[in-house]
Parts: sequence; C-alpha cells; structure tokens
Amino acid sequence: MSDKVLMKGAEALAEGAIQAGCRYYFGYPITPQNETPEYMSRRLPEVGGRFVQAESEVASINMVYGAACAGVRVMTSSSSPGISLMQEGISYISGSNVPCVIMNAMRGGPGLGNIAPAQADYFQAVKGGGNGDYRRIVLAPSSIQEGVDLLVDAFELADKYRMVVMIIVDGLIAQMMEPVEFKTRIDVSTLKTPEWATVGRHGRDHANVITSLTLDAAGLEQWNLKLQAKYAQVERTESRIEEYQMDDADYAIIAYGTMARIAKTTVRIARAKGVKLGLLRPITVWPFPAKQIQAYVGKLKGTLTVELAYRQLFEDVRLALCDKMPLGWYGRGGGVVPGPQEILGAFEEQFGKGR
Amino acid sequence: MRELADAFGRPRAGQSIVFAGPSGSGKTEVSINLALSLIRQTALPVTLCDLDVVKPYFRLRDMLRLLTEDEARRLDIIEPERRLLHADIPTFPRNLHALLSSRDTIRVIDVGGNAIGVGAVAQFRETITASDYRMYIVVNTLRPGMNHADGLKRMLSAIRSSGRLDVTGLVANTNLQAETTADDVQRGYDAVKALGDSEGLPVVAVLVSPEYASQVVHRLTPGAAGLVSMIRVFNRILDTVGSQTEF
Repeated sequence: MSDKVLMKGAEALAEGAIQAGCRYYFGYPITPQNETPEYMSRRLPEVGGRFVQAESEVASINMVYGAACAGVRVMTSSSSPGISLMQEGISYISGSNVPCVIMNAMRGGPGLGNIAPAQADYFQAVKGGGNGDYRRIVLAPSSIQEGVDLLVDAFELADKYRMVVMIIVDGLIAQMMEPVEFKTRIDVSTLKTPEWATVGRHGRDHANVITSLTLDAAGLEQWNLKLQAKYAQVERTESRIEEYQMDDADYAIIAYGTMARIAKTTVRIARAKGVKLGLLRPITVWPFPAKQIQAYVGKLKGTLTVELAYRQLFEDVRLALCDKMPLGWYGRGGGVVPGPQEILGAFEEQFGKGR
Repeated sequence: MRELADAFGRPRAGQSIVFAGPSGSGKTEVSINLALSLIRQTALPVTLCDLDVVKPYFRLRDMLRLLTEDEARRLDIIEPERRLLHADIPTFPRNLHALLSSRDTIRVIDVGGNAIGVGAVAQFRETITASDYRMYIVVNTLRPGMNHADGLKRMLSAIRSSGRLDVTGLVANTNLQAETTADDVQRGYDAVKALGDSEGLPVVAVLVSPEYASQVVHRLTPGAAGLVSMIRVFNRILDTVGSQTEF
C-alpha cells in the first residue's frame, strides 16, 4: 500500500504545517478554507500543540504575533476578506522582525465577493496590505502536493529570515482532493528557541523586548535599512520558477497556481498543433523570478500572462520585461475559471497562430 | 461487474436511498451514479436530492452540467433555489417534506459529510423514516483518520447518533483517484468488511472508476470482486473548469 492519502487541499495544508513543526494555530472560519482550522482543531491537540478559534481575524493575527515572539512555529489561515482584516497585524509582525506562516485561500472579490476561486489578492500578497516598508515571502503552489512540500520550506524560510511567509492558493486548490504524501517530518524537539524570543531572561542580564515601535526617526531608519538588507538578500537568493516545455519555446504563458496547472494543458494542446508554446510558472511570487524570466529576452516572440484576476501578475511581468517583447494578457475574475481551450483562444487572438 | 442499482437492491417507487459518510468519501459520486443507473434500469421517475449543506465546492449542483441532455431530462433534480445555489449558508430546497413523501418516485439523497451533514438532515427524520428508506455509509479508507478500525468505528457511531436513522449497509469506495492500486481497493474492502462484521452491517458495493479499474478488478479476492460496480467520475478538477464555470 502506498503512503499516500486522499486529501482536500485545505486539510493537507494543515497536516503539512504540522509535519513542518507547526504547533500553534489561531484562526477564524471563512470559506473556502474552513477545513484547515477544522483539521487543526482535531490534530494539534494530538501532537501536543494548541489550537484557538479566535473571535475574529484581527484577534487571530495578534495571537500569531504573540506566539511568533515566543519563537515557536505558528500559523494562521484565512480567505481574502479575512486576510484583509489581518493586514495591520502582518505589518506589526513584519516590523517586529518575527517569523510566521499565513495561508490565504483566495476567493472572489472585492469586498465580500463570493466563495469561488480567484487570484485577485496578488497585489495584497506581494505588494502591500499593511502599512510601512515591509515584504513577505509569497509562495504559490499549483498542486496539493506542492503546497505540502512548500510548507516545510515556508517555515524554514520564515525562521531563517525572521519574516512572514505567505502561501497563496485559490479556492480550487483548497477544496479539491488529490493523493498526497508527507515526505518531510520535522522533529519539533530539534527546533531551538531563538536567542531573541521573549520567553524569560534565563539568566541573561537583559530581557528581550520585541516591538515595531521606534520613536526616533534616525533609529527607525536604521531599523528599516536592516529590514531592507534582509529583503534584498531574499530577492537575490530565494526566487523560484518552474520552466515547462521552454527549451525550444517561441512563446510562453506566464501563470501561477491553479491557472498554471490549467495552462499546462493549453501548452500540450498547442504543441500538438505545432505551436512551440511553453510555461513559466512563478513558484515564489515575491521575490518575483524576474531574472529567470528576463533570461528569455531575445529567445521568445512574446508572453501571455494568464491569471484569475485583472492585470495584477501582469504588472510584475511588465516590470520584468518592459518593452523587450510583446506582452499579452488574459484573465477572468469573480470566480470564473477559464479552461485550456479558452486560454489557447486568447493566445491565438493576440499572437495569431503562433507560427 | 454489477449494475449499481442492483448493488442497492433495485429500489422501488416511494423508496429513499440516503448516502451519508465522512467528508470526501464519495457520497456525491455514488448518488449521481446510482441515479443514472436507475434511469437505465427502470422507467420509474428518479429524483436526485442535493441536501449537502457542508461543502462549498464540488457539490452535486456543480456536477449536473456534466450530465448528457438525455440524462438531465430523465432526472428530477432537487437542489436549493437558484439564487442561493452558491450562497455560503446551509439552505435546503423548499417543499422538501412533500418531495420526500412522494410515493411515485425513487429518491437518491446526497447529504453533507460527517455527523454535521447527516445531523442537518435529521430534521426530516420522520418523513424519511415513513418513506421506506435505506441509508448507506460511503467510506474511503485512504481519507485522513479512516485508515484504522478505531477511526472507522468512531465515524460510524457519530453519524448514527447524529442522523438518528438506521444504517442499512456500507459502501467501500477506497481510492486515490487515478493512482489507485488493487492493493488499495482490497485493503479498503477488508477494513470496511471488518467494520461491517463488528457492527452487523453488510458491505453492499465496492466502487471502482474507469481510471484504474482494468488494473485492479482481476486482482481482488472473490469476496471483494463479487461486489464491484463501476462509477463514472464527475469530481475532477479539469472537468470543473471552463468558461461557463461559475461556482
């Protein structure tokens, strides 16, 4: 018998976090990710962890902040409007230089929107949301297995850089079921409490204090420069991309998450018709894999960015490629998911038959 | 391989066949497949009821567009009213008591997962009980927590006490989608059979899908092989996307 189980994305990401050493989860229900807190509420007590259903997303993210200051592996999850409510806390956590992992199962927006799959929180995830000059690493898996594998990296990266790491999926990945295997299991007894954690003096001559408050301007500028140096290092070393059928490609679709998965089928259909189409799939959307995409300048006749949003991912593609090649775009919003033929139709409309 | 309607004793007019079970075990798949088998096997009106108030995606209502025109015409579909189809609130169709009381149709009822899903349907208990019902628990032992006897027993006991309906039998639907092996199906059957033996319930069907059936069925023990029925798969990601997909 295989070691695989059949899991919903939202369940598998919860188990994946536990296998990655997460022992603290604070959250508030919202569709389409309710299976994550539900699963955590059952499993965390079994492994000696703590689950708290907070009274709101604002409370959840502040509980995460507290646990992060104690130097433990902590996570929350939500869906679009809930993540919006967490932005203040995300800014505080970033400003305090402490690590945590946040999962967003994106749904249709803006506002209350609907519970259908979307990628319209791209700007919020990679550009901002909260106040101040902060960044977070944003990972965008396109299958449940990849999500589970990336969660291990998410906690490692969060600890390594003392940063917020966000996993963005859409409602489809959260709700669909796939066979999944948990290949890595972090033994939490090997995780050391960091020097900076606020867990008591333990004989030191000073108490650790964690805050995002720095009253004098010069001091806060120095703090910001320290954060910026860290972000620059992350940009240099942590961007990831999958290059699919790119060796001889004349054109590339650029897409992430569910859209990339559907675009792979488009690539196969196009190739069967003799069109040399490939796929560039950012796995990290921050740091954006601009260098890897720029390497195709001079080799490609054009790219088609495809997303479940209106020109959000496209903005980063445009920043990376400027006017170095024709840049096409296709997207659907509000929870509508285009199929592979529809994407091919958009490609042919914008680039002709591609030959 | 048995026709699915036979596995469930060729239901008669006025009967209700209720599918309950843990979340993600395949209740919706078996419901739609039994309804399709019934319209192939009988001229009686067949009603397919979507009473799932638990999961937000991949519900019966999301799969109906994959039916052929002929299938859609033959089936009477009961689902929440259109404007609430995709609302994230637990609503039941209107006039449900009357629909569940009809003596003229065979009803196949898909309820939501776990004790919560069947608990929501318990409010119709008296109507369902009066309708000569059968309730089956669908189990996929490769779902989390279902791979050991204790988990299976806890699940069954929770569904029984929450739904307050008698369980007629068990359906073994162990699968890993296209990656399913004969060993998976056999072990799944063995585990569900052991649960049935300890609880006095028969295993009435072992389900396989065309994605893996040809590599699996001939390798099963006679006990499992004799119960095999093929089901058409509706819940697959690439079937659910397309420009018309508005969840």
